[in-house]
This record gives sequence, C-alpha cells and structure tokens, in this order.
Amino acid sequence: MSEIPEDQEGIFDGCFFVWVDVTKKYMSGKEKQFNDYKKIQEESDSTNKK
Amino acid sequence: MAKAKESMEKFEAKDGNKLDYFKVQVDEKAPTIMVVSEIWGLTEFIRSFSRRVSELGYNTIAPDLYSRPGDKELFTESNIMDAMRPMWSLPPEKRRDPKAIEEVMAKLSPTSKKIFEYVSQKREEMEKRMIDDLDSLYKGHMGSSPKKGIVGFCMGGGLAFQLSTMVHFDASVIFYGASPRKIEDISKIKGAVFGLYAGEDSGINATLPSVLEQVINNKTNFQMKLFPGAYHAYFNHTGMSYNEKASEISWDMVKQFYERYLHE
Repeated sequence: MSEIPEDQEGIFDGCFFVWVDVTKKYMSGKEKQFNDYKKIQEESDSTNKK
Repeated sequence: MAKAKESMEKFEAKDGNKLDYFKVQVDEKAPTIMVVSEIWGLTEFIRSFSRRVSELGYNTIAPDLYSRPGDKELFTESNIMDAMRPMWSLPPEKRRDPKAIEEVMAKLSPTSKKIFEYVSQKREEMEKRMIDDLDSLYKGHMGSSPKKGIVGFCMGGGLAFQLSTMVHFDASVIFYGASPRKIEDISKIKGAVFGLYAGEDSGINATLPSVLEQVINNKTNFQMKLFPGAYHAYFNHTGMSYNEKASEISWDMVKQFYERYLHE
C-alpha cells in the first residue's frame, strides 16, 4: 500500500481518534473502567426516565 | 444442523509470527466469514457475534490482531482506553500538529506512550501489518471455502473494506468503517458490499460521497444503510453507544445480505 499522506487519517489512527470522541462523550468526568460502559448507559437511561 | 465447535487456533503471519484466531466451525462445506474486530481487539463482543453468525450456518474465523509477543499485554482494552483519555483535551484540528502531540505525549504513562507511538509515528506500519495478517488468514484458512464473507466493525470495518479491494469476497459487511485509502480501489471489488453507518458519525461518514461516486462510476454491487440518530459503534451491545433498534434492523439486514450472496 502507498504511504498515508501526512494530513490524512489512516484506518488505525482514524479509528483511535473516532473512539477518543466516543469515550469523551460518554466517559468524561467519570472515573470508570472500560467495561463499565453498559452500567453507565443504564444509569443514564434510568436518570432520563425519571 | 450439526453442533458448532469452538476453538482457538493459530495462523502464520507474513513475518513468521503465529497469531491466534477464534474459530467456530459448523460444517467444512459451509461458507466461511471472517470477523474483524474494533480497535479493542478480540473481545467478548466479537466472540459472541461470531457465535451468532455461526448459528445461521456459517463457519467464522476472528483473528486476534494483537496476539504477537508483547502486543497481548500492551493492546488491552484498558490500556487503549487509558491512552485515549489524555487525547480528550486535544482538539481534532490539532491531531496532526507535532507540537500539540508532543505536549500530550509528555503527560502519557509509559504504556500509553507506547500505544500512542503506534497511533502516530507507526500508524502506517500498524495498518500494513494488520492488512497483511488478514491476508495471511484469508490465504491460509479460507481458500477451500465455497463462498467467502467478511464483516468488520469500526477499525475492522475499515480493514475489511480495504481487504475487499485486494482479495475476493462474495459478501463484505462494513459496520461504520473507514473507506479504502485509495478510493478508486473500489473499482477492484467484484463481490457485494453492504455498508452500515451511524448518522452521528461525521468522521467515518466524511468519505461516503466519494464512495458513492466510485460505486456509481464502477457499477459496484453496493448497498448502504444509514441510521439517523445512531452513534459510532451502535451495534456493540457491550459498548457505550449501543442502539438497540438500529442494531436489530442491522442484524436482520445482514442476515438477508449473507443469505443472498453466500448461497447463490
């Protein structure tokens, strides 16, 4: 494969930064571990229902 | 249908390393589908998805792209996420700025620093290595399969799309993955491709207009589904942005897609 141009994202780094945005959206301000995602989502759903 | 048999197997990579893959075998004459993981590696989500696909009557093989010596301990879910946290403060427009990167790097733990080196300086090496590994698995363990499929999620979606431009798959499913690096390589795809995308996923979706242009120009067998309101990784039921409705619709569509193109 040809070189990844400097100003473009490749598959690996592009995916990393997509997940940086996802984790920031859901995990920011929470001292949680990776596998706590589902719990956080459930807490969030529960709060939204109240 | 015979009972599926699960096992962890090894395949030989181009660099001579023996890498792991998760295999679910239903029938040696059945079509085989390669399952390519998100950046998080061969997680329980990937294993459970492989089992689910096998229940439809397909053999599945899911490589552990982090199974080289040293990688297994480095690229864990927790370590990858720890490397992401310091990046939250880095605005998207600064992600290619060497000075900004240097400042963030200085704050990273040694483990996070190693991971981020692969994301920045070694990104090309990492991507090439992963594509080579999938190619080795394909050539070594899918050759005799009567029909061949692939499915990938996020990073795995990008890798699956790229690999589909290089070797033949009858049916490729791309869950919110990057488009092939050289977009005109879409002209090399001879099988059918199904791309599923989240409406709220601007980074991944940015290249879709170019994909569609190639699809129209080359008359590629391509179908696409976009879910308004869904976020990146909406299909991962263990993840943060799981969207049950979008996931159910996707699963039904993927089943139909494989039914059509792996049984013709």
